[in-house]
Amino acid sequence: MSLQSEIGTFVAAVLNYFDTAVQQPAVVGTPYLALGKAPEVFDYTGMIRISGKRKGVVYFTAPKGMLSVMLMRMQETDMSDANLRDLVGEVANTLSGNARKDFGRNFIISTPSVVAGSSTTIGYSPDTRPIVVPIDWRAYHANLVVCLN
Amino acid sequence: MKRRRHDFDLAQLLPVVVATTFAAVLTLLLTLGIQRASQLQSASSALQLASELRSLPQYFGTELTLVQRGLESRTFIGEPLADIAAAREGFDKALERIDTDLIGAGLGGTVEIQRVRGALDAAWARFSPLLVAVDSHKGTPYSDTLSGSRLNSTGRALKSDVDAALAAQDESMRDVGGALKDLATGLQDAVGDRGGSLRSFLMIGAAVSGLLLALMLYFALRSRRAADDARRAERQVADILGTVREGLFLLDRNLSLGHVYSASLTRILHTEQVRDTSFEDLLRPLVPAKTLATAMKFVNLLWKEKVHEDLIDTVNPLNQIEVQFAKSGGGTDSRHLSFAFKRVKNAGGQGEHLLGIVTDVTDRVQISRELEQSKAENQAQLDLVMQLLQVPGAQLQSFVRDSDMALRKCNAILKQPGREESELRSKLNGVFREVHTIKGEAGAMALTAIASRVHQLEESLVALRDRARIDGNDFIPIVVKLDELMSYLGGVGQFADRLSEVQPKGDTMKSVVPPLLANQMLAADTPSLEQVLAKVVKETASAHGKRVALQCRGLEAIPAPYRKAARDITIHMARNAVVHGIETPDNRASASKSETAAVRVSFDDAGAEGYVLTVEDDGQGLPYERILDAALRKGLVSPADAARMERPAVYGLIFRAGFSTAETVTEHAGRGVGLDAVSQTVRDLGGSIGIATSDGKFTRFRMKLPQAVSQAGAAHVA
Amino acid sequence: MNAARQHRLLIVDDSNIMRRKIERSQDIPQVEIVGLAGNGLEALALHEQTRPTLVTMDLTMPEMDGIECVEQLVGRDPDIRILVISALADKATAIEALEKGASGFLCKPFTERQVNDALVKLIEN
Repeated sequence: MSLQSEIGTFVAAVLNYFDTAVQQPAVVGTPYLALGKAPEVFDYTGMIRISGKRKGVVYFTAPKGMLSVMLMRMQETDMSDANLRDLVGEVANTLSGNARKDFGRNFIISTPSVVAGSSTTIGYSPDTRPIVVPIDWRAYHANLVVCLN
Repeated sequence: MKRRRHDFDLAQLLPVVVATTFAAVLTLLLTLGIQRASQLQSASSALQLASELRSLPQYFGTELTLVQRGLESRTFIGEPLADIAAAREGFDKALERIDTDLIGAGLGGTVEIQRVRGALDAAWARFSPLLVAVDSHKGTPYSDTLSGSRLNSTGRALKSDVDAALAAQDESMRDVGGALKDLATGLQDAVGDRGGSLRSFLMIGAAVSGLLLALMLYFALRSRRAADDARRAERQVADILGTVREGLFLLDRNLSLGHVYSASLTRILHTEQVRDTSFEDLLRPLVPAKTLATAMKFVNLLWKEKVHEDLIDTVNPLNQIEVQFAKSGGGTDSRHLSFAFKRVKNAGGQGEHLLGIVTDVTDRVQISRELEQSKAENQAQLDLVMQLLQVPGAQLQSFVRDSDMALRKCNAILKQPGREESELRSKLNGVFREVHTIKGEAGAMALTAIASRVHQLEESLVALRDRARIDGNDFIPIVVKLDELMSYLGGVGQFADRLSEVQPKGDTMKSVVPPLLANQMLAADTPSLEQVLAKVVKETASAHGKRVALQCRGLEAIPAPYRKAARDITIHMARNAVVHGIETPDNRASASKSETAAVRVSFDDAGAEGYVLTVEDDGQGLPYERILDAALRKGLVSPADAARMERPAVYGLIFRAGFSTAETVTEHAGRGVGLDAVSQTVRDLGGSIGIATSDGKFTRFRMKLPQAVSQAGAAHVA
Repeated sequence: MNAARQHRLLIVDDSNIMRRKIERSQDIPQVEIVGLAGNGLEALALHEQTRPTLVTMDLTMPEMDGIECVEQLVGRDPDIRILVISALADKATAIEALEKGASGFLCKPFTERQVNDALVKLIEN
């Protein structure tokens, strides 16, 4: 599988999450490379780590406001930190699920983990350039970051 | 083969034939049995009659004696006479009934019985008239006299008849009795005989029935076992079809799919609409029309008796074809399928069906492609090293720096917000310009390995630009290729750094490369613009079969802030001039021009007016009509506008993004991006472009640049 | 021996090397080579003289190409068995030859064994 189709899988997973769980489609912006500095991290980040044929990290990072509105659309009234973590973890879960489904045995995919706080840095190998896929939804802006060698 | 079909029919018919035969035999036996039974009945009745008759002779004697004594004692003898007459008639009737029974018992023709029967008749015939004589007497036999009753004439006649009868009675009665006894014996034998044969018939019948029952049971069991076998076979076929990886199907003479196919077929073809579908309809959405037509011709070949199916494998157009499946979430999924076909012959050796086998060979194809790709990559790497060795390290470093900058600019363009179709298209054009510039520079340095690498990215951009609709998703391949290109150029940069370390400062690579290569190298670390242009023009001309002499003037006087831009611009325009402006030597000769064309590049300081950069050629001039045609075809102008456009406005079209008049895209020109990039650069620098051209004579581009370097220009250079 | 050689083979190819290669490869006892032709016209002329039952046929040849030659040969003798031996440029052309009446296709380059196997299959069919 090419990196291109792997990214395609992750993007499709996120878009599908918005289509089905949130019931309001999101739009993909033009992807770009994070050069020089690490890509921006928002309030909540759900990530999976991948090893095997490729190594690296894939994460979905979104601002609190966006996640709160997503929860509202999902008829959730509890906007607590725990629930926001849950939601972003849920997105990471679909990333992991789709990757397991599409990539086959050559990939080892970790269970999703969640970090909070926009000051966090997410470690990735210095010789890879993360590919940032902007995800726009309503007036909000989140990123899907794929960093695989 | 034909016999087998016959056998099959016989096996089906056998139970019916056997059952019918047995039923016929049974019917015959029962008919014979019934006949025997009725014969037996008749014989028994005759025997009974015969037995009854044996007491009659005695009876006649008694009665005759009664008559005789009555006559002597002159008593009333009417009663015995009536009894004799009745018994005699009874005897006659009994004989008639015996005759009827004998015929019924089938003994009418038996010699022995007839003889006995004849003896009986004869004996009776002798005695019976005597009795008739007695019992036919009417009237009173006595006449009353004074001396009492005495026999009158009637009485005397009667007396003599009775006496005669009594006299004959003993002998006759013995004869009759003997005959009756013989008849009874004969009949007894006949009854035993008939009874025996009836028993035999019934026993045979019972046996036949038993046999029939057994056979029927056997056939029933056998057909049940056959049905079981058929069911088991059916289940096994279903198991195979459900499990097998390959898509198996049958095609009939009309090339329609049958009802039986493997479960994998629907998975491999991504459709449930398989049953009774024509093969052509099934393939139509997957392959191009031309492939489809060839494929149908190929499959039809298999119906031709003369064509040997093993000897046409290599011409199968459906062997490893790429097909496109629409994905549920939009877009298409590309797979490789391999179809094979085999004739299926029936019992008569006739082809009734084709067995189709389809496998998804995507993985196999991918592996072999990757293998080829890695081979090609190794070769490309080797080529690259050879090419890099021919370029001075510092020059290479500067190329890598410039390229990296351009790629970063591409990335910055992608990073900008903007999700609308028009914004995406303008991003695409922006990235295109940068990439095209890198390719041009790589080409100018004869780094064809790098140029072709960049060309690949450009290909993806072209493919995207030609799409009717694009969205952010479509940029994923672009950003991945951008990433790869950055890594690739990073590697080249490292190589360049090493190279400049080993190279003595200000020297070429004579020490590390063979003399032949070293001779081709340029003498300075950074070649002058003139040298670069000379190389570009030379290579482009030779690639296009043209003869061109380059003349440069004043290029060394270009101020530092303009150097990078002037370089980009002149490389593009000089290449364009060679590809589009200059005619082939033959064409030039026939137009009475010198075979060697001229391309002139000059830079002039116009004082307060700024600077003028000129690129001109003595070629065919700008083809006004072709430009207009191309612009119309690409939808850059509407037909209404085109009709109104003045020549200068038409020439201006060549600076529009997406314009190209070249028929085919090559690495050299024809992308329709070069002049667009030039125009953008000149505008960024705050300058303007003028065109002068004359059909068959020349084309001249004059770029006026302001004296003071503008902010935009500075940004571009940085 | 003569009775055993009941198949008569005509080799048609514009390349001398190819003709010789096919000739050398062919070692089926029942097959006798009766002629070598360099183009379609020659093949038709040789067909008159030698009455072959088997033909190996190149497709791209001067004078008359293989497809037309196949058509003409089959027109003359519907029972003739023709094996097209050609470097496969496009499958459609090969299919056309088969539609015109050829029986099989062998792709150049080939091994001796492939030629023999193909001819044996043609004979047996």
